[in-house]
Amino acid sequence: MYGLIIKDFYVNRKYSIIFAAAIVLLHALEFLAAMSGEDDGSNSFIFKLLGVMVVFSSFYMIGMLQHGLFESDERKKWAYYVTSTEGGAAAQISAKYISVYLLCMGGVIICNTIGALAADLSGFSFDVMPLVLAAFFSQMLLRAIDIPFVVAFGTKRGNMVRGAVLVLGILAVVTYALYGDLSYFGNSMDTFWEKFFELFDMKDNPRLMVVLLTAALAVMPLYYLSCRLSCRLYLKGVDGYDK
Amino acid sequence: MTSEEKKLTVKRILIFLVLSFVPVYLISIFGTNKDCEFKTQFGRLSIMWYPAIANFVTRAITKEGLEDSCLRIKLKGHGRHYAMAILLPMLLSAAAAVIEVIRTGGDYSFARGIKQLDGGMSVMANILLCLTAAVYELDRGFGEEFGWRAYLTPKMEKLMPSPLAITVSGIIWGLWHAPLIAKGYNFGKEVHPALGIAAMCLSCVVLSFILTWLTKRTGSVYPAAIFHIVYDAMNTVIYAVIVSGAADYDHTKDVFSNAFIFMCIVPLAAAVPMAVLDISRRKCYN
Repeated sequence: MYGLIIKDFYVNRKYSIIFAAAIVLLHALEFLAAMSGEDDGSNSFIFKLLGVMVVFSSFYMIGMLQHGLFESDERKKWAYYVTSTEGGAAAQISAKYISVYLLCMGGVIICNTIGALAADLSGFSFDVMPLVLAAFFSQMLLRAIDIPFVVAFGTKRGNMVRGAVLVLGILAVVTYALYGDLSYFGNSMDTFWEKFFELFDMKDNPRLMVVLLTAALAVMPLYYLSCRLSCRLYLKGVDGYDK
Repeated sequence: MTSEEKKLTVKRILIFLVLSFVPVYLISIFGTNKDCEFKTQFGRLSIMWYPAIANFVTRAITKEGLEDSCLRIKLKGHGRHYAMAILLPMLLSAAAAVIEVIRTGGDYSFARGIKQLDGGMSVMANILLCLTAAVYELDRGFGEEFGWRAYLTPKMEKLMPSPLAITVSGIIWGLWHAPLIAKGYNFGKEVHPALGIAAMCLSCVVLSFILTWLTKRTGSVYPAAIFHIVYDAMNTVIYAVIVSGAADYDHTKDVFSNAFIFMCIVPLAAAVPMAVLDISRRKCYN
């Protein structure tokens, strides 16, 4: 299995390097913002917004890399070969799940480190860690849901299912934005962002903290169950491969 | 082992020690204030990574490669060791808290303790926060264990018998914490810094036996990393939840003796039977 993980990163090394460079460049923006102002109200707000954008963009790119891991192995010959090896389909799928987890951890380390450096340099008191934590567990949850689809139907159809879920989600948000009650956000974007940042400052709201953290922790067993399910679905999915 | 091989091993150990000690001593001495609080977020975040970085860099400098690096996960057949890595540190924290409650004596009410900690919801939130931290801060546990257990201890074992190697690497691990301990980290400021450092060395030797056992039984560094991060993340909260119910408990008093029980005596009680059983079966420590 260790070899399969190494293989995954070796096969995708070009993309890994490109995405890593892109993530570092994105964080350079955060650095620039950190170097160019003092911690007054508006600068601090822009710095926070930039932090949110950088963290979510980084995790989005990591998500693209994670999908590349599956695409590169979508060949019948490889699938039948790897199933006949000692670990079988379980090792192949477990290696993918571990690689996905390692990529998420990589995202956590990069975002936390550069976020901390930027905050130290600027004196802005914005801690990106809760944001990174939310991005980490959200991504683990999304992967726990979409990997079984990718394994069972191939990346093309799996991505279609993922896209459909995403479109449904966006539709739900847009519908709520058009017809729902927005008074909580004060009907303005500024108040929306203020409320958004408050969400990550949970010290005064233990009830919310318990709900969010329980949801976050529930992701890990779900991820494990998703792995078991994918192991079962692997060979069925192989029949549908084009090559 | 030939004298050439011995020289090379000693050289590797020295390079590793320089690389893992220098940045940490610099951060600990200049990057923290008198109360041992980190001045920078980066210092706090990165301090546990340096042993792992030292491992990678030493391997690269001495052209050792990644053979015997304990990087394999080895889940198959080792589920119980992984479970132990999660549960044992929590049990140790709970045991230390129970000892403290008995030692304090007097009236005990669990409900009063929870009330003191701002209520059940707040306690629950803290426990969950620490558990979550144990999941996504695994890199920090890995940072130390990949250095001490996956590099230093095996290298020491090439030069001396296993129990002695574990003891020596435990002492080195304890000394690695020295500047922080001297500033009152873990053992407080009520005793001479040297006593705190000695206690830390003892604690590290004891924990080193447990962590090396986990690493050797699985052939992987991850159970030790999980044990380390769960121990770091969960100990304070579990301890506080149990101990706060004691009427006479005051966390500002007896910091040294509390920490000594918590970090030395209780882990020792777990490590001794583990070591005796293991030596009698000639498994890891022979």
